[in-house]
Amino acid sequence: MELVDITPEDSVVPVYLEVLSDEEQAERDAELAQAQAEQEAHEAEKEAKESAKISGMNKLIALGLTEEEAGALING
Amino acid sequence: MTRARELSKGGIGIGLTSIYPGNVVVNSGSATVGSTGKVTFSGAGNVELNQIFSTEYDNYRIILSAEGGAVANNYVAMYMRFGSGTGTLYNSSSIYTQQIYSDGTSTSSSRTTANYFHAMMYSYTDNSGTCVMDVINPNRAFPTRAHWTQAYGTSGIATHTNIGVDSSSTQFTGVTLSKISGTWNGIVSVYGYKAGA
Repeated sequence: MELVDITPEDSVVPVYLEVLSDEEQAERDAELAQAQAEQEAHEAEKEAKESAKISGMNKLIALGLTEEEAGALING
Repeated sequence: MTRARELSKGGIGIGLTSIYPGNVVVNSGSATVGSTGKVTFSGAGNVELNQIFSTEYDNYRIILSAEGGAVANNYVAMYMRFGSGTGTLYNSSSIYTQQIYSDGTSTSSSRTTANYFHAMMYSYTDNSGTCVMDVINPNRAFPTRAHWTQAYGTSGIATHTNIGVDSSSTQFTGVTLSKISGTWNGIVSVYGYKAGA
């Protein structure tokens, strides 16, 4: 990894630009891809929970509960 | 003198002090550090703030304002750094993040384990958002904990409340704020809580 000094005139501390070799860039890309995959898994889990909540609400309402009552049971 | 005036004069050492990073590293775009210590960056994927944690303070506050960028709807992760100079990325998956998120009337929760504090901020459709984070004991030989809230969006707003802990006792000296896809623009400031606070 190479650091190139890009400190602007108005900066009171040094600022560097990180320049990666091809190999380092590939490693970084892999790390980001993993973080992206983790995020997508997290989003999918979040959406599944939301879907389950909505489904549960609808079933409770179908059983005769009001929306407020069903919401109180689902959300605690 | 009233107690409030004593406090305002720092009479018993309570208050926040602006921290200047020793250096800043970006992997693209640019950054500048103003005379108040405020770091302004543009077009960066990663922003490293090095030498912000030291033995001088135990606890710190980080205030982040994301103000646009490329590729919306993804997270900003906070990696920890250790060592002198430009530091070294801490790459152990020993960081647990627990979060509650609320969007409209819907509230939910999740837990993640990774080598970063998950979801320091979520970049919404316009890549805007804010985060206020307290980091406890990052430079002490003791587990580092972070407590933070984030708000994003300008109309369909949502919020996350998070806590995170690194179970090691690594003495950290900096952070890398990493947008996991695309680049971003913003401002970040770091403050140290004076001893006893």
